[in-house]
Amino acid sequence: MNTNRINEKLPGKEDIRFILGTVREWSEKMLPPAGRIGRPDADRTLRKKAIEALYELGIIFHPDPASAGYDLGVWGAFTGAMGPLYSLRILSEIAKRCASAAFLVHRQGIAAMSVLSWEKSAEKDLKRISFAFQDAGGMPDARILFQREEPSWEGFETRAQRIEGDYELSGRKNFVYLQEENRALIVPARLEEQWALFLVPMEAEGLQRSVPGRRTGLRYLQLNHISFDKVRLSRDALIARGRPAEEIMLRALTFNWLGMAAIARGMAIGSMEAAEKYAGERYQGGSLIKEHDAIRGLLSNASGQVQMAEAFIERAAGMKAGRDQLGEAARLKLIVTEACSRVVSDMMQVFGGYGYMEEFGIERRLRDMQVLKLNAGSPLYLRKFIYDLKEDFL
Amino acid sequence: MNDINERAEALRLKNSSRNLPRIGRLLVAREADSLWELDTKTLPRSCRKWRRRARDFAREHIRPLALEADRNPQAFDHTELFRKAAKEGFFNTLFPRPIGSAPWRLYFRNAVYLPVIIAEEFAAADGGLALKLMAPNLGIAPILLSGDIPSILRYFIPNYIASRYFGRVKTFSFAITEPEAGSDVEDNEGAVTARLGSKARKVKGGYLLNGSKIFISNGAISDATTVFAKLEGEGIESWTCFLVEKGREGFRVGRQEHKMGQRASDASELIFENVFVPDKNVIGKVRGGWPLNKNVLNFSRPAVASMAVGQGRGAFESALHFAKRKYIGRKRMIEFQEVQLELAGMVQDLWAARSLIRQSLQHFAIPQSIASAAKSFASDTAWSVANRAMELMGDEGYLQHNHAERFWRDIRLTRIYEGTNQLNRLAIIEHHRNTDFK
Repeated sequence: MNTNRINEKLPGKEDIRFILGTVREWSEKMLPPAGRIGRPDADRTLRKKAIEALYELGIIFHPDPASAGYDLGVWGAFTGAMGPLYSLRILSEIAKRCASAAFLVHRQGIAAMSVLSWEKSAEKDLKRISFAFQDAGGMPDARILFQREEPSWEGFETRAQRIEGDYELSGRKNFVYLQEENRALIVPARLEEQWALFLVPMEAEGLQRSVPGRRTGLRYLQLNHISFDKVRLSRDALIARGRPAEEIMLRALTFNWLGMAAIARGMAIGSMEAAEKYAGERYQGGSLIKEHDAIRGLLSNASGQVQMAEAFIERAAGMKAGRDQLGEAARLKLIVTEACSRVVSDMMQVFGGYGYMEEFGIERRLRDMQVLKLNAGSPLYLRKFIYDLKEDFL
Repeated sequence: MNDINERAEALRLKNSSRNLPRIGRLLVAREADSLWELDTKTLPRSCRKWRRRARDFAREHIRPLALEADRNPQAFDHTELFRKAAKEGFFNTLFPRPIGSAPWRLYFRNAVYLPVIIAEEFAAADGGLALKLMAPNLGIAPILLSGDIPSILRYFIPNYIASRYFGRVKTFSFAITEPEAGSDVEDNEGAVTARLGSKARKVKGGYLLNGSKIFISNGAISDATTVFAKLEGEGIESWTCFLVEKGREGFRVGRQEHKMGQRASDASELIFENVFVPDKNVIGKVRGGWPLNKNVLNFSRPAVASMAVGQGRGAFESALHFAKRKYIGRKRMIEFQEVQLELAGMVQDLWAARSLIRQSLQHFAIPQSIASAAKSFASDTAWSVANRAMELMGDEGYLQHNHAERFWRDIRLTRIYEGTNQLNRLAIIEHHRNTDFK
């Protein structure tokens, strides 16, 4: 990427405000009313249209330089120069109304970012791709991620081997979030005791998808377990191997956790705004419920938690991806999703019985938040990971 | 290594206690039974077999239906489940023999002792079906508290015989919440200024009822409903309880809510358009509805608390089952200390909540403070337990077939219904302001 071109095109505050405004308009125009989003019977056509509009608006990152979202899509080509804050703000803005849409934008961005500097990217169709973070044994632990003198691959199943100049991939990836008509997967694998990343088309022979089951939330996206039974890949399916592959993985993990925290923040703000509105309209005991101390306490606490989340996320403004930052991103996801989850639950309490019913959209936020909290690094995993990482660098 | 393990095994409480002198051995726990069984033995004798029966019934008849009832509540047919529960006597636990199935000794301890104990066992299998089976008690409670012997005999003797011997049960629901009055009808100050929409007008031989009620558990499937309405032109003080049977002209079921959890039990809107209710269907006194309502809520809060603990236990058991079968590397999850610490935290929290409920049952008439404390503490605790259970399971935690997520969704409602936990906390102070805090 030409540095001068980036500097000329880097957006100022006004531009960012404009883009955020565009996202807001999109939310109001394209998202179905609360209660219908995320339900299994939500209109698929409507859903598809809304996402296509985000591609057209350039909000979703597509690693084709001619596409609208190449520079300023979420996790787009300018992320390196601008830092992650811009993408995080957009994700929060989308998540105020719909976490599933934000999650889709985020995961496409992470996958696309991982192939940005790949010389073969121009030859591939990289719209609608996903990054497969979890192996059969779960998220990679710190020991597996940072291979030392004595490599350890315990619990990591996906491996590739060379066969007549091509590669053969076997193993399994679990809990892979896919877009509709997802075209390819980025698959981390073990290749001759090193990390390697492959781009695997969804229609590859030997690739099998299975649905793990019905789930609590984030139902806008499809969730699959994917197994690879001797999947034959040509040599140009290899994105990177060795240290460069490790760096791409670190970046993907770091920004993935940052983005998930930003989505959690957006959901917390969205539910707080909805609860404040409700508290200003609903009466109890002859006065608006916002006049009641119990409600005020819930709303005040929520604003404090959101402010804390904001502060944490702002700290990530200048963050580059790397080993040192991975721990910070893990802490961020751990703390922010936990705090924001409490906010959404408290906001449901403001709604009383109505909050528990689908039509007000709060219960969906709580379900989505729970999935966000558990996916790609549950609190238990993150606590262990943070400690292991610390040990590793001591 | 083996040597260390063997020596550590010998140091465990169970094994080391064997080396105590005989008197010492008699005084300490031997850990032979399961904790559930040991706990059951602390209950009054007449209650123990009911707890065991409730657990067996829940495992055999509730648990297998739970997933399907949650997924397709509209298509779920409860008839067979109700028939089996009726024959076991689970629908009649709010009355002593011969009107109901509660043993007299237990009834003298506390009228809700049996339903509270059963509620936990049912809810540990599924929150929604537990509510479906327990909610009829709520509909019956105003009739019981009204002390109206002719009504009690008229409704419940035939009901008891039909259910115990033929498996045919007539169920009741309890209708207080209105579109513009949710917390209002559970709170004193709120009630005074509540925008009540349901009204009754005196006509010859009875009353004409108009208005609507919402979020009524089992509203769509009940045979009769105890409905609270004010008298036309008057305030909450005129609230009167009416028994409205299914099929009365002008009475219909409206919208059924799509809920986050406890989906097996419908939360329905009940609509009354000039429904004629005869004088004999007035439960208790005319204008005597408010005391009935307040006391029914107080009566039912320990049962809701118990359901919350049951659901928390269900979530915990799902996580435990998961930790026992899931491997991380070469070790089962349960062998990791951090996993054991998480599980232990859940166990102790559930014990604390259950202990508070049992404490409330020590009273013949449960004081408001304890009923509300049990309800709010148990539901908050169960919520925290379910969150931790899901966290322990990682991504598997949000898959429905692993059950924890269903309990998590179910539990969230226990913090809202029977008065939000905020209202329950205020009820605790309401009690003490005139006594301990004077």
